[in-house]
Formats: sequence, structure tokens, C-alpha cells
Amino acid sequence: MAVRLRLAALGHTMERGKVVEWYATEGAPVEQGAPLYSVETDKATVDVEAPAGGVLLRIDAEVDREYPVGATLAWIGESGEDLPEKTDETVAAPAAVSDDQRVTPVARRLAERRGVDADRLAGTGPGGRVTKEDVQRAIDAGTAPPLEKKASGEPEHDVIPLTPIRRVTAERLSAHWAGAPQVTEGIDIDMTDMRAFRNASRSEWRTAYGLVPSLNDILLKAVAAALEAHPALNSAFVDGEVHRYREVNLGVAVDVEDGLVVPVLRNAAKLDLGQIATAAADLADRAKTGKLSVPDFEGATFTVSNLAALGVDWFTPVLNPPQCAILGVGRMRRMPAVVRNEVAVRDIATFVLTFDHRALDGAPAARFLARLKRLLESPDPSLFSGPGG
Amino acid sequence: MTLNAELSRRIYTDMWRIRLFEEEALRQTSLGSVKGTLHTYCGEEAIAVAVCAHLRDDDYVLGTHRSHGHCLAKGAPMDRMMAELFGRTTGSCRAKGGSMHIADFSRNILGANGIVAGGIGPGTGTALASKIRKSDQVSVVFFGDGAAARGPFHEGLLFGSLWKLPVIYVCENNGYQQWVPRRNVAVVDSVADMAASYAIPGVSVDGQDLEAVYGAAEEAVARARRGEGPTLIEARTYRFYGHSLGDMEEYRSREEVDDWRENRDPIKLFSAWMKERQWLGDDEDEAIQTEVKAEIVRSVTYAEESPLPSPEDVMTDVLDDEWRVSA
Amino acid sequence: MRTIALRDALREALHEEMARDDSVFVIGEDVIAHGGPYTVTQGIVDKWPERIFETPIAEAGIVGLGVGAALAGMRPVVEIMYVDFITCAMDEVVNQAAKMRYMTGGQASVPIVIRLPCGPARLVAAQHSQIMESWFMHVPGLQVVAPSTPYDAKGLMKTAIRSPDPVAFFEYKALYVSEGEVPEEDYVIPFGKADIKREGEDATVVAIGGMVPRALEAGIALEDEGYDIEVVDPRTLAPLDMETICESVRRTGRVVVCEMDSSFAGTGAEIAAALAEQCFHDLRAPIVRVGSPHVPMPFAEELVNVTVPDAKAVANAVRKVMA
Repeated sequence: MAVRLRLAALGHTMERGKVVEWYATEGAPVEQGAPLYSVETDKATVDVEAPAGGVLLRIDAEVDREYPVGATLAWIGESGEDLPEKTDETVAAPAAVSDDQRVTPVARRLAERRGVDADRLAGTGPGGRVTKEDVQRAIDAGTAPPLEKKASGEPEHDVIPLTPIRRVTAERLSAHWAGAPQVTEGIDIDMTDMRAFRNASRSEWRTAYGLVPSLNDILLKAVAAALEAHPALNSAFVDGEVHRYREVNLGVAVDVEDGLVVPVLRNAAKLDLGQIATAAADLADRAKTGKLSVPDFEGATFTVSNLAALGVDWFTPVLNPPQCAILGVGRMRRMPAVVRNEVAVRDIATFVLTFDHRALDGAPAARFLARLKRLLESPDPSLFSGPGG
Repeated sequence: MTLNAELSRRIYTDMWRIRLFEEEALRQTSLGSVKGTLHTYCGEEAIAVAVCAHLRDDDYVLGTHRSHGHCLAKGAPMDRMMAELFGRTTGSCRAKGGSMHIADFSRNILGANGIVAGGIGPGTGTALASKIRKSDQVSVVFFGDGAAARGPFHEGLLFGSLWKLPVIYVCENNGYQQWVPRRNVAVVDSVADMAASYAIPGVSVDGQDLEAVYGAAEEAVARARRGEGPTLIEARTYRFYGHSLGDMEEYRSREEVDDWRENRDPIKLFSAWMKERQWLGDDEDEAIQTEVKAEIVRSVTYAEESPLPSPEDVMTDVLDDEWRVSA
Repeated sequence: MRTIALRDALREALHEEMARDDSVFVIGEDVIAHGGPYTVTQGIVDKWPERIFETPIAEAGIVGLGVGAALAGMRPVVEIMYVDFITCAMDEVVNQAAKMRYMTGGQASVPIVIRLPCGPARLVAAQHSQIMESWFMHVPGLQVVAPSTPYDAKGLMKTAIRSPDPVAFFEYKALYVSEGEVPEEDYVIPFGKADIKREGEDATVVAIGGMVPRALEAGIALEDEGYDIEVVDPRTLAPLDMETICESVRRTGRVVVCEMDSSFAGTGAEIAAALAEQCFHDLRAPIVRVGSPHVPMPFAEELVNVTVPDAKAVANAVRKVMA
């Protein structure tokens, strides 16, 4: 039975060694205890004696190549003995990897973020992978190849930087969304009679106000009146306290090119319909021409967001902090409805109210919606004609 | 230096300082002013004073858990020692060490040591420092007979002898290792005999006989200063009080203690020895004791008037907080 | 910059400090012959024959003498051949070196460096493979240092030698031959400053001493799975830079604490507890510790391989906190 010679650990810190010389050739007799080979460790060169006598059957370890401790160096036995096949036990170079795995995902993340073409970097990771360190090193050294625009195909997406309005909207709404438990209630309001009332009042209004208020103006007037009757909805939740406002300042959401702006219609409950219509028109004009200034946006106590013009049936508005409620108005739809036990074609709009449940419960919110419904479905000339009160 | 009248009176005064300091400290434990325990040196005074009489201010002394005597003999200020026992911020160790760790680095008194034989390695190390620096400072390590059983005693003597370090090992063999008579736990009677294993001189002397200790120490210190290496001195002695506070002393007889106190008190013996030579009159003797008593009273007053530590003091002195590494 | 092995970096630090300060000296077993088993003290005897002491095999004496010399103003660098042997001198380390400044009310300074080659290497089993950092961390008055790179080894050794207080300097035997860039000039690394050995954003891996290269290896392997780990090396365990560790954990929200020693009552336990106290609300997954099982180091390679945590163990722990 042949004896396998292995590389021994010859020092406290030796992990690998290099045979620098064999003192016998393959097929030569060796004597137990006679120097057989010389090995260079990290500290010194040491002669190693043959651990057994016999014939040096085969030398597996090539001179001047590094082997790990424990590697097979040679075989001693009797002539003609069968030996296991030689295996390469040199300190291994890592196996190569295929091209599509060549850059680690983490390295690619960094490379893309920094605009570096990682595919053109040399890799030092296992199997020649390009690692994050390789990318970072190239960036630090200023040798990183830039990422060229893709030759074919469209980019997957365009990056749209946030406008200042978008950024503020995003930050404020997400902060409030995270902090406030929002509840939404909806109600269908039959606007048929209000439309008729408006048509009947046109000439009177033109005379009194110099213009014909829109249905939206009428809606704002009704909301202001309803809020005055239900002040719980005209409030804010600030630092664990409910602030109930004395004035009704309506935020009126206006869609402009850059996004949504919400200028404030001040003291709306004290304005008559004509004043509301004039003020709302002024705000909308200035919003569309970008002429609103900071004070125009401050101090809203309740917001009305009307998407009727955009053809939306209904939606759930999101609170505008720190206000406790917001009303979302959908488009008017001609649709069948039951009126006095008959099916009739009516103009129905869905009104959706979102409120901060920390400040109020569902019932007062429902009562507010009910009053709004009453005000809009049964037009009261004293409210919509003449000077406001 | 020859033991002349003047030096003798100084040594004699120091013996009384040690004796009365400790008796006052014991008294203060009953008044609640001194807390913790005390290991008293009473009965062994001749050894510390006779050895330290040969030392310079820059020589090193390392002690044991029973080291009030070593500190006073090497020149530690008594008032600061008393303040330490009182747990005051003016104490030698700012109330962090107490009786068992009392130290005064300004006099190269590197500390009492609560670990038996704990000072032997470090004391040999201070001697190694002297050798490296080529200074002629010597080191003295005091330890009890119990320490001779411990490894650090043997390792310390080996290193001291191997490198011929200027160190004097002084074993105060008081016959008891806490509550156990040495004869029950030792295989050689004289600790000095152990010196032979380390090829250094071993001398056994009567520790109650000041002149004998003085002579042995004189030779040992001189030898160390000449760079000829260590000496092991065994001084046979006796502790007048128990091992520490509250010792019931069931392991020794009242007669034995009384006999030592009556016939083998080093202070009495040295007083008689001086008087025989006309170096000390009765009046002088009384004046010395009066002066020492006044010093004791002053030290107690100093301690009493010193501040107690404040809670924030607990976090200081773990490391040198001021230190920052600089390139 | 040139690249040298960790043991060469330590040797260089010693030579530079001995040239800089006459009070520095070396004491230990076999420190002249071959410069010790790890060659760290090589060459000193040629330059400073009076400042290197080759001793009997008597660890209590070696450390005890070191403490005394330090008390007398010298700066001994003590080599204990294997950290396992320091148990023979624990009184000198704990009762003498560590407590002396406090016991004496700040009078004593014990500027001693105790070099403690540690950790598994070469299958030398239970009494030559221990690490024990946490033993020393637990003693007030000791500074505990565990470098993982040649750069840190040199800078920390120089700081250790200049420190006025005792230092237990842990040298992982398995790292002695590991190589890295080391400046030739004088530099120091302050104690209590952790080093981020790899930046990453998905999980923090706190790795100590010999675990640092394993954590870095795991970091590369985990890149394939899309996990980008941050490797924080505290470098000194006392003082311990929890600030840097917490800052990293607050960013990543996930943490693995790795040590090569038994994790029971170990270094990682202290770090994990401090993290739980200081960063609980930043954590998105429970803290995971990596360490040896609570057994003495076995002999057979098959047993050692399941005892000492490797890069795979670190990677598995990261997968656990990422899940």
C-alpha cells in the first residue's frame, strides 16, 4: 500500500507552502528519515524527511507552485503499485462565471446610481465577479467607465423632477395620511331643482350681481351655510387639540398646469352668492395665470374639491392638514331616480366627505351632509338671492 | 549608616507613630468613623522601620494588606492616611482605596495590596525598571509567611535572581496565615530556606529585635544597590491583634499573646536597648510619646474636617480621562 | 502604498515605538529566539539588547514584573504566547494592572500592553485556541483592542504603547499572515473609534477581529442575492464605539453581530444588548448573533469547522435578518 505524503503545517501561521526542490526523482529509492524535499513556508525554507522508505512512485507537487497545508505532495511505495489519479491541489484560481452573472446585483445597483458601466470593469470577486468594491474603487480612482445611453430601444422611464408645488403637496399629504385616521362618507344629491332654480334666477342675479353664479358658486355658498350650522366640520386637529374656527375660510381646489392649487375664499359664510361668485372667479383666474401669492393659500378651514368638470363621478378626497374635513364633488349625471314613487330622469351628483376621525365622529359628518343635501335639493331664495347674511 | 543615638530616636519615634496610629484607628472603628476592616501591624513595627531606615525617597516599597507600618516608615503623611481610613477625599487614595490599598506615590510607596503575594511580581518589576534605566534605586517588597505558598512568590524570586535585580524580599513571618498556624500548612519552617532554590541569600532574623533587622536590611540593600541581586529576609514576628477586625482569635491562646506583648514587644525591647546605651532618657521617652499622640490627634482632626466624596467621584480614576493619543 | 502582513505591521509598530521612547521594552517567552512564534519581536534584540527580556515560563511573573515596571514609569510590551495562558496571570491583570489607578485614587498609571495571540489556527485544540475578549471587557480599568487589518494593527499598537493605562491587545493568529496596505510613516488610531470596513445599506454586520474578513467575504457572496451589507469593525472593544454602530443600524434597520468566540455571555451579547437599548425602534428585524457554540475548541478539523463561524454563517445570519 503506497504512502501518501501531505504538506504539513510547519509553523504557527503556515497555511500554504511551496516545494522548492525534490531531492529524489520519480522511480528512485528513498530511505525513511532521509531529506526528501525542501519546502518554503511564509517564514523559512525547511527540509522535510521521508516519512517512509521505498520507491518514490510519483511526485504530485510541482516545484515552485503553492499548495495548501494538507495537499498531496508525493507517493512512496513499491514499484508497480497502483496509485489514485493525480488531482490538482494547487491553491486554486477561482472558477470563472458566465457573463450574465459577472456583475453582482449590488454592484450594479451602485453602478447605475453613479452612472458607471459595470460591465466594462474588471472583477475581483469570486469567479471574477465585479463587486461593489470594484465599482467603488473605480469611482474613487476616477477610472469608472461612464454608462452610455442604451443604443437600441426606448428608455424604460423618464425621470420627472418634482416641481415645488408637487413636492409640497407630496410631503404634506403623506405626512397627514400617516397621522390622521380618515373616514369617508358619501351622499347622492339631486340637483335637478337647483338647476331649475338657477335658470329661473339668471336675470335677477345678473341685475343684482352683474354675473350669473355657476352651480359651483351655489355649491360653495351652500357649503359655507352648512358649515356655519355644523362648526365641528370647520375645524383643525393640532397637537392633540381640536381648533374650531370662527370664520369659514373655504379652500377651493383648482386644477392648474403644474398640479393642484388650493387658494382660500375668505369668510365665505358672510358673503352673498354674488360675492362668492366674484371672489371664486378671481381666485381661479389668478391661479391659472400664476398670480396667486402666499397669503392666498393660507388659513383655509375646510376644502372643496370639485372634479365635475373632469367627468369624475365620485372620488375620495384626502385631508388637507391640519383641516378636519374635505368635500369632494363629482359630476352631475342624468339618471333615473325615484321621485314621489315614480321613476324620473334627474340630475344627480355624488358628494363625498372625508374627515379626521380624531376630531369628530361619523354622525356629525352625516348631519352636515344631510343639511347640504337639503340646502341644494330645496333651493331657498333667501339664501341664494339678495345680499348674504 | 550606623545605628547611632539620633537615628535610633527617629526610628523609635516611628515605631510609636505606627503603634498609636493603629490603636487610634481601631478606636475610631468603635466610633463609626473608620469603616471597613483593618489589618494591624502592631507587634511588627521593628521590621518596617528598620528596613525603611536604609531607603532613599526614590526607592520603591510595596506592601501587603497589613501595610500601615510600611507606609508610615517610608514617610507617607499620617494625616492623609488617617483621612483615607475615614473615607475622605483628602485621603492618600482619595477614598478609593482604604486601608488595604493605601499608597503614596509621592514617596514611591506603590501600595498596600489586598492579594497575598500580589506585590512580589510588581516589586520585582520596579527593580527591573531600575536595571533598564541603570539607576541605583532599590525596591523592597514586604509580604507575610502566607505569601511564600503562592506562585507569584516563586516566580518573582526566580526573575529577581535570574536578572540580578535590585530588590529585597522581606517576609514578615508572624506565624499565622489568617487563622491557621504556619506549622499546619508549611513544609519548611523558615521561609528564608526557600532562597536557596533561587540561588539568592536567605537570612532569618528576629523581627522583634530592631538591631537584627536593621543589620540584615543594611546588607541586603547595599547588595541590591551594588547590582548584585536580591536577598530574601525572613523576620520572625508576631501580630498583637487578630488577623483583622473582629477576629475571635480562637486559634491561639491568651497566654501566648500576653507573653509576646509582655516580653517580645519590639517597642519595649528597643526602648530598653536605647536606654542601656544612654540614648534615651525617661523624660525623652515620654516627650516622644506625647509628641506622637499630638500628631495622632491632629491627623484625626484633619480627617474629620475633610470632605466626604461626592457621588460623581465614583466614575473618575478608572482610566486617565484626560489622555488623548497624539501622533 | 506597500502591502505587508499583519505580523509585520505589529513588528514595525514595536520598532518605531522603541526607537521613539526609551521606556518601551519587550518581555515574554521566546521573544528573542525567532522573535517569538509569530516573529513579531524579531530584530529587537539586535537594536536594543537591553530592552528585550526572554523569560522563564512563568506568566504570573512576566505580567507581574510588567505591572511593576509600568508603575515605575516604563512601558512594557508583554507577549503571552497564547491567550489561554493568561489565565495563569489573571491576578496580575485584573487585581494589579486594571485596578491600580482606581485603588490609589488616580496616583498610579500602569502603561502596560499585554499582547494576546488568540483564536483558532493550526488545530491546536482547547488550550491554545481561545479568544476571551469579553473576560477582559468585563474588567473596569482595562482597554481591549482587537485589530483585523495590518493598518489597524500598526496604528492601534502604537496607541496602545502610548496609552497611560493597561491594554489587552488581541492578535488573531489566523490573521498574522493576512496582508494589507500599511503606511511607512508614523500614525496612530485612537481607541473607541469603530471603522466601517464596507459600506452598505441593507443590513449592518458588526464583526470583531478575525470575523471581519469573514464578514467581508460574506458581503461579496451576498451581493449575488442583492443584499448590500455594511461591515462595522469596532476595533477596540473597551472603549466600545456604540455611536458608530448605532448610527449604522439606524440607517439599515437590521443587524448581525459576529464574534469568533462563544456567543454565550460574549462580546456580541454586550453589543446586542446595547443595540436593543439604544436602537430598538429602528430595528426592522430581531438582532442575530453569530459566534461559536458554547464548547471548548475541539481538535479534529471536522469538529472545528462546525465550531468556528465562517463566512457562510455570517451570510446565513444576514439572510435571517433580511427575511
